[in-house]
Amino acid sequence: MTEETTTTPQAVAKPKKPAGTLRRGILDENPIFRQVLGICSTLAVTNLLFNTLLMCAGLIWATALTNLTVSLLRNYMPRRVRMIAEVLIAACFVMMVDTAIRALFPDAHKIIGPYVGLIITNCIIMGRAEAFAMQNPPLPSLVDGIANGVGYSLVLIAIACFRETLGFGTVLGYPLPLRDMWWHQWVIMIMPPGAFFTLAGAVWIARHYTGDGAQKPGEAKP
Amino acid sequence: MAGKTRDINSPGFALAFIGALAVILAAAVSVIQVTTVKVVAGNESLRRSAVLVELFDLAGGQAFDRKDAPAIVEKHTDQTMTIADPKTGRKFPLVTAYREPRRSDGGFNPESLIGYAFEFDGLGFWAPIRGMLAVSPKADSVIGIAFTDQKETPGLGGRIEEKWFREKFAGLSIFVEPKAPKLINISLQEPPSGTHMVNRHVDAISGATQTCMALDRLLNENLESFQRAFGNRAAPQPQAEKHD
Repeated sequence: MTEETTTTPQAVAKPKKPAGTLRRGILDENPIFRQVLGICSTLAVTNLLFNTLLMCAGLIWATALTNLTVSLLRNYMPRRVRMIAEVLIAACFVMMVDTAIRALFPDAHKIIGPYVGLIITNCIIMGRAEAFAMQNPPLPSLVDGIANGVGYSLVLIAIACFRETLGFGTVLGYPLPLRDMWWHQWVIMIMPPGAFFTLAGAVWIARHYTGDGAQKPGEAKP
Repeated sequence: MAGKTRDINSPGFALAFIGALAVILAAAVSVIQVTTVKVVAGNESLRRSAVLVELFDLAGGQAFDRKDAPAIVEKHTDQTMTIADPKTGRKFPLVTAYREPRRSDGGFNPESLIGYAFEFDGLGFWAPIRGMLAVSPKADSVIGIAFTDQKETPGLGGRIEEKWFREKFAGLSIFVEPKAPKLINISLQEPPSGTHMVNRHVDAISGATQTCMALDRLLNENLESFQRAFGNRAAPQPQAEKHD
């Protein structure tokens, strides 16, 4: 750990057990409602649940394997080029995901393809590689990547369920029961403002039930 | 340990490290790309074939499996003809579709000609829009339209892909008429009755005004170019006629 590393106190805290790392990634340091990372894709891909699921799978894969690779190489990685190396590693895994989605889900790729490519620049990947994988052994780093990916995914899936239901009247493309008789399209839920409102609501609810994350007296400041 | 740190942070090691990492990662990505290239090309071909079957109703109104589309297209279409716009030089590879399947000698019955299809493209509201337009044998009316690539707003502009909107294009007049200011008119406002634009009008999608304006512009640009090319074609010689 050097002065060059940009980390939060929570991120620097050494993991004791994989279960603790998992809990931190999903709840205590959730990338969306705690660290406010990866918001761009949260807003962009959450109007359809299927596209969101693909995006989440891609991000879990990329975050976990980037963390693992960075951790494996951390003792050999020159500090002055570490950011370049981390981007290279993330780009490699993201391109693999992009190619796989293009081959296996061509219709979905036409919609989310640009956002999958942008996972490379997703703050979660770089954030976890810098804050965690550079200071921790491979297994905890892998778990941390999975945990942060899952934490991101759970929030995205909740938002996507809400937006698709109100915006399209469907869930995973299947129409709601008797949709034509009672459902009316909420156009705003399809548009970016709908994502902002839903995200804000999700963060509010999540913080209400998991604590607001505010520092208590006596706790160390970042 | 101090010596090791110094070595790792030397410029030479940093360059070698990044170079080696880039080569290894690029190789890994290349392997994935090469192994999936046939699948990706197959997907594109399937999609294009399915679009043609749907545009010309080559399955005879029956539901069809997308996997069967290439075989149906092979039986019912000739894709050897290309026409060129004399003004811009743009080339239009034509898909010529026939109701009756290809004969044993490889040709088609010209009496069963359904029409032609060509690919169009242009800038939509957010990103390029690409698709195929099928026109009648005299290129004076639209048979159908399909979109193969668009990234308009889902639920708004993205609805141009939906069947109810595409069906509005079937039967539109697109012959060149000097008194008609446009070949196709996509607008929320209906043209005055009795004008040449009445049979060229498509109701725009509410909430997708910008996408519809972009579609109106790009379709007219493509159609004008196509009509020049079609009118300029040197006595079209579809493969079918060669075998008669």
